[in-house]
Amino acid sequence: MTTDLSGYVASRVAILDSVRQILRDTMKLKIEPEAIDPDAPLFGTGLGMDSVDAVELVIQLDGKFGLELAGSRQAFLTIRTVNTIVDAIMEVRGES
Amino acid sequence: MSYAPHITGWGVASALGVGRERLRSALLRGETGIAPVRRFDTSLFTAQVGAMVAGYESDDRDPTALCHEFGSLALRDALEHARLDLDCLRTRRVALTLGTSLFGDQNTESLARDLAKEFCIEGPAITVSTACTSSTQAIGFAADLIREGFADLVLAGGIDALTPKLFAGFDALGVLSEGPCTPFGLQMGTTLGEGAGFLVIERGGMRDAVTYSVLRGYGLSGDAFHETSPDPRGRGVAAAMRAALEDAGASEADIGYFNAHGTGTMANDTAEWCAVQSVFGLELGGALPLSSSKGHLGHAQSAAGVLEMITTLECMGAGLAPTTAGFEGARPGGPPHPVGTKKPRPLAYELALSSNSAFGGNNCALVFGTAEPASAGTEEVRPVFVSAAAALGAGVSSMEELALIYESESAPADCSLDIDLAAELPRVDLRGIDRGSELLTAVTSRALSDAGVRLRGQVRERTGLIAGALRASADSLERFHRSVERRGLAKPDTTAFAQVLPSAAQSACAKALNIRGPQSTITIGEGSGLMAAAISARMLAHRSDSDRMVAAAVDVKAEHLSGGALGDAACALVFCTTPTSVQVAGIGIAGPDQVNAAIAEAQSSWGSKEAPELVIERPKPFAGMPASSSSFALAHALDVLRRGRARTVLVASQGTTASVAIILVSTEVMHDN
Repeated sequence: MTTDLSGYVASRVAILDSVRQILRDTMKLKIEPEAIDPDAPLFGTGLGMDSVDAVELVIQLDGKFGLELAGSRQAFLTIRTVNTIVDAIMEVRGES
Repeated sequence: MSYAPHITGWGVASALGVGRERLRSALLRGETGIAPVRRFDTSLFTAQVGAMVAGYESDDRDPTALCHEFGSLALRDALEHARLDLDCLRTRRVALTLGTSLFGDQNTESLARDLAKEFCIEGPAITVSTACTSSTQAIGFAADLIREGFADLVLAGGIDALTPKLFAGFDALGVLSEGPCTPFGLQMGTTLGEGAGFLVIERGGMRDAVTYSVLRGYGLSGDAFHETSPDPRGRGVAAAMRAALEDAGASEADIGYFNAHGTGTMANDTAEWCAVQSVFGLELGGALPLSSSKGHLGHAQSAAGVLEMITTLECMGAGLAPTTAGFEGARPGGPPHPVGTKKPRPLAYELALSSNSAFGGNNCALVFGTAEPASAGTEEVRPVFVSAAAALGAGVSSMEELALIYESESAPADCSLDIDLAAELPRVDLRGIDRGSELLTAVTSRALSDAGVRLRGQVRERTGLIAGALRASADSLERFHRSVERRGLAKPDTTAFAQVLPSAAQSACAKALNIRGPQSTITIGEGSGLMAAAISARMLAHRSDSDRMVAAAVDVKAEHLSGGALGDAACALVFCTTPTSVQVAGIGIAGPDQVNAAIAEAQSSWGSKEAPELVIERPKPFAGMPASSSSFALAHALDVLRRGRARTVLVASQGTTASVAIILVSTEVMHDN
């Protein structure tokens, strides 16, 4: 593995952990953060998130990662799964 | 014997003025009380308008002080209208039912306690705290107190004040409209308001009073759907309307006007219109004059129900249909012709329906008017039984442990509740709920399972839940307040905001277990659980809209409270109309200092001269669980009767704002009598 790639993976894993932790705390999820499937839908039958939780999630993601999701049309495309959120954060950091 | 509840006066402190005369003339002129908010800075928010009580627009005192003042003004106005002075109230036969939220910063019953003192009300004071349906339900419970002879006169209403935090919470949820709200109109969103309103409701013929209207009936229901959104099909709203019509002995065709909750949000107005169409049918529903008073008064939260009923009473008396102020054109998917003229238009009607819905899916509808019921036949009173109980608290993880504590008469050595509650909760999705919701859901689930009740099909609609709770769950309150402190009013934690109500546990429990029947959250401070049991049992006896009621109580651990620290505790009893080995023999309700009067009333409604074999007068030895301790005593009484240790048991509690006594007996004792 090249240094670039391992750096990318380490960075992605750290962000993934952080996003999972935020999700767990916001929604009081009854599972450990590492058990959250990064590709499971956040809304509906996946994690059971609703628009009320989504508002709180957006505030936390904007605050912690410098995203600008609040009030943006992009928000609902970004917060579909844990991985789509991680993608957006990597992009903002110029690491995608 | 059932007595008709007569409405003999009312009073308001509203955005359209303090005093009913001012409200009335403003309504007739078609004015709105919605204006730019001056009490606090709204530049952070998407909306800048609100409906503050006239004369208090810039008053930024503590919300408790504002609530007390609004309540006091409205009560004085109501007493004057009903030609009553304070001396008339100085009797234990006068009660207070109050709907308020106080936003969880204090024990909810404190406002009722203070107002009862100020107005020399010596009878029971019951506080209902179910957000936007609080005062509507308080009026319903007042009707029961009169009909069943527990009181001769009830002051029933609601109070709320608009605070920056409340505004921030609704703003973050994205439900505020930028301009003044136009329910059913083209603009989406609501406008928040505040105020107080009280009705004087009394037993007809007790004194020389003018009866303006008769409170014919009420209906309660739960959506069991979502923390903040209504069931989009309006199923819960429709159930409350049907229950109210049935209670009133009226048919859909008798209703001449409908005062809708009509907040102005897409979710509410659409669901409500679905409910109207489902209850009234397309033809009758399409022709039914309906409007929402929120264009005039904003959404006065806990006071909305009573202020909207008073708006209807004022217009009804003048032969007018209240209008939806600000309405200029119907939105797609809503009623095509809501009353939206500039000024109230002439309409003759004898019976009106008014409905409100709240966070968590609590719904309440009222039927009132000048029309007397077609038949005043004798009311059927159903026998009520107890089928199961469950308790959780310090040192109590099962009914056996509860029995041990009562038998040893000692305080539990271990004061922590060490049970994996999550393991007992039905899991629909992975989302968690707050501590109060977990406790109440776990204990209710245990009790229903002990009673052999499976909540499927129609059983869901025929099962109700009355919870006694003094405040919102401490974890949600802390999470919400902390989010505002750290991130500012523009970014409150919406998930926590949806839970900062005393009724949050009751709605979360109803949602998790699928309880859709009559439901509410009440408090009388200490003793709340026993009052919830009394209300549940009376509702089953006198109403036909449910087959079983869960009477529950919940306390959530909290330190540093003025009234002393609280511990985690919850208790639930299942009351039903199907015979079991234990029957409810008598119920008494009286003022806070009159536990003996409550006991005498329970004994007299039992109709036996025999003294109960076991008397549990002071629920003990549990400290720090004001709502649950009296429920524990009742659960223990059930246990004693089931095990044949006694044949008759009296449980009484001298609560903070009311006293309650319940006599449970072996069913065979009732047969012997």
